[in-house]
Amino acid sequence: MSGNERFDCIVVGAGPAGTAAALTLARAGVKVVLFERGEFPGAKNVMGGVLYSKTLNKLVPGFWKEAPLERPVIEQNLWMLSSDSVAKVGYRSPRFVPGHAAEGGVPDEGPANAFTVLRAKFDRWFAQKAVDAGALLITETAVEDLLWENGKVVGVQTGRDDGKVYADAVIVTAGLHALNSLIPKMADGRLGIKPEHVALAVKQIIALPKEKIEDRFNLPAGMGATIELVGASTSGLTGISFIYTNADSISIGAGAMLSDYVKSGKHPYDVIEDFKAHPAIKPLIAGGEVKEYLGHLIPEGGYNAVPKLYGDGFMVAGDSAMLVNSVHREGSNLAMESGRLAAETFIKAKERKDYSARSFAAYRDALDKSFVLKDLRKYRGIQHYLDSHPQIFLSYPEMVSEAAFRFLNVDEAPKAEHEKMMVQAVTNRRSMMGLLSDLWAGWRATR
Amino acid sequence: MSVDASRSAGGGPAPAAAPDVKTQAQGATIATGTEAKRLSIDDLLYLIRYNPDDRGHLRVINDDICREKCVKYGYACTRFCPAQVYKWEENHVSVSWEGCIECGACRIGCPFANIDWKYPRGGFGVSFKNG
Ligand SMILES: Cc1cc2nc3c(=O)[nH]c(=O)nc-3n(C[C@H](O)[C@H](O)[C@H](O)COP(=O)(O)OP(=O)(O)OC[C@H]3O[C@@H](n4cnc5c(N)ncnc54)[C@H](O)[C@@H]3O)c2cc1C
Ligand code: SF4
Ligand code: SF4
Repeated sequence: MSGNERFDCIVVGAGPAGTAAALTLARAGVKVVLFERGEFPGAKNVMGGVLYSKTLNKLVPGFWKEAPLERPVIEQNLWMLSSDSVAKVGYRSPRFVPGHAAEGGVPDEGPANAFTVLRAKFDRWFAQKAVDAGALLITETAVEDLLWENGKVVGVQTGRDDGKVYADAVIVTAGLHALNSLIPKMADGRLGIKPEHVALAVKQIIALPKEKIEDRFNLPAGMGATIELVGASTSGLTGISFIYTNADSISIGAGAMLSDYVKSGKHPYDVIEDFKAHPAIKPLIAGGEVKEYLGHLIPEGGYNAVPKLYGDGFMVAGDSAMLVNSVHREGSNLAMESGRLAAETFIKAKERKDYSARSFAAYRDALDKSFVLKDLRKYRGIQHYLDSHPQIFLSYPEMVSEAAFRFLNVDEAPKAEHEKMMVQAVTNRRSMMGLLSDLWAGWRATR
Repeated sequence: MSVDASRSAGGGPAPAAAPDVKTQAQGATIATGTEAKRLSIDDLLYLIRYNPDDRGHLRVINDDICREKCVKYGYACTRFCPAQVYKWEENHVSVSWEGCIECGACRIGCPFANIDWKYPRGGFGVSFKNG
């Protein structure tokens, strides 16, 4: 790439959003360059991670036959941890893994609903798809800012010596921290992104032999499970933890609101070590070897925190646009879908040779019609709900544990007495009216 | 719904005595006994791969602000940074940027916007093996 080479479109960041955009553009014959600051795509990226098939299969049909995936997910669980106990709800169905259920081999019938993945491997493979389609991938190169002319984005400033690169438009898919000239500042100079808008997540990769994983999680050979946890798993902070099975390792992590971290003064590495030491968790990872420690932020602002999605000469997709559905732990699929829609908007704009905000408004319309903004809108009230009902994360798991214990404990008290004690365990901690109002508000927040 | 009450009999502490955790270049084994040893932040950082730059990418802007205003937050960044990059040293916060895992929490979490935050230069910094 020479100093004054011109491109049709520049994409900043080779995560799921950027690669989906570059792939779509390259296939349409657009001259596109994809910048990535990492040593390779994925080197900087962390997720749980559960990858949902539907969105990816639109981009790379039959992806599951070649992509580096860990395990198809046959079972999903929600655990509520109290300080020493656990209440579990789960669902396993062969319908999640059409064709896989027969065990072994790669099925032709269609992909599983979701797969566990490790992003350093997955992102690298995915970006290669864009390269194969004709995109120019430039790694180890950070875009430092956008280049503006007359209120319009005309290119990017990279950290290289011949640093300026020009194009008709720039698609920003650089993750949560995006680029300085796009991040809104408040009057006092502070960032527009608040600690209440992000979760800080830490994660460990724990190696275990395949058979041990399948034994401990009661899995058919090659199949995977996910466990989401609330309650004592985040040391009293508002958050969610997770345990996902990979081919021969476990991804275990804990995410909590950054605002809670600031308030509590807790260390993230203590939170995850406490979680691992919980009596219900310890046996799952015993004897494993910790291979890596990772950390990342998750945008949790929801619909109300979505920034400006386009302007003259630019569009913003994925985490850069806060497009994460924190209720369902979905982000990578929203990133891919938004990246693809931004690219399609660019392709149409190119026919008209019009890269103005007016032309790119079609991107917003497309997002509005897609599951991306439909889902975020559906849960727009959830952030406020969780802020104002911290008991959902904190005292409910203890309450459920106490109720279950009283109901199931065999102590020769008549069963009618047990039922009474169970109700008591609940109402001791939260009045009946309080419970009803929590439920009602929760229902409203998800309508 | 199943319920697992793994209470230890009598509510006493779980029996101690367990093999030690080995911290190796490749990984750290969680003891197979009943009591797995906690990994310290140093153990954890040891597992991360970096391409270290010779210039720092993080800087505390004004030490006076930390000293005068951040006491009530217990010097927030020294607590929430997942890589313990920031440490309180007598009268200021030291910055071991080499260990940064680039999450950006300090950029958003410092209550006084007192951290000059950037990513490392392209190609430098953390390079995750798994992600
Ligand atoms: C702990 C955790 C668990 C999660 N679990 C799930 C899950 O189970 N399922 C799910 O679907 N989602 C999950 N998510 C969310 C998901 O990871 C994100 O929503 C998704 O990665 C967003 O994709 P993106 O392409 O927008 O951004 P990113 O994946 O962040 O990619 C941005 C890319 O841009 C690069 N970049 C950044 N700045 C620059 C720059 N200035 N110049 C050049 N390159 C740059 C980065 O290196 C990176 O490669 C999880 C997130 C976390 C943190
Ligand atoms: S959080 Fe900000 S103000 Fe507080 S000690 Fe750290 S840098 Fe200083
Ligand atoms: S970016 Fe994250 S890891 Fe790096 S110093 Fe800030 S809080 Fe610590």
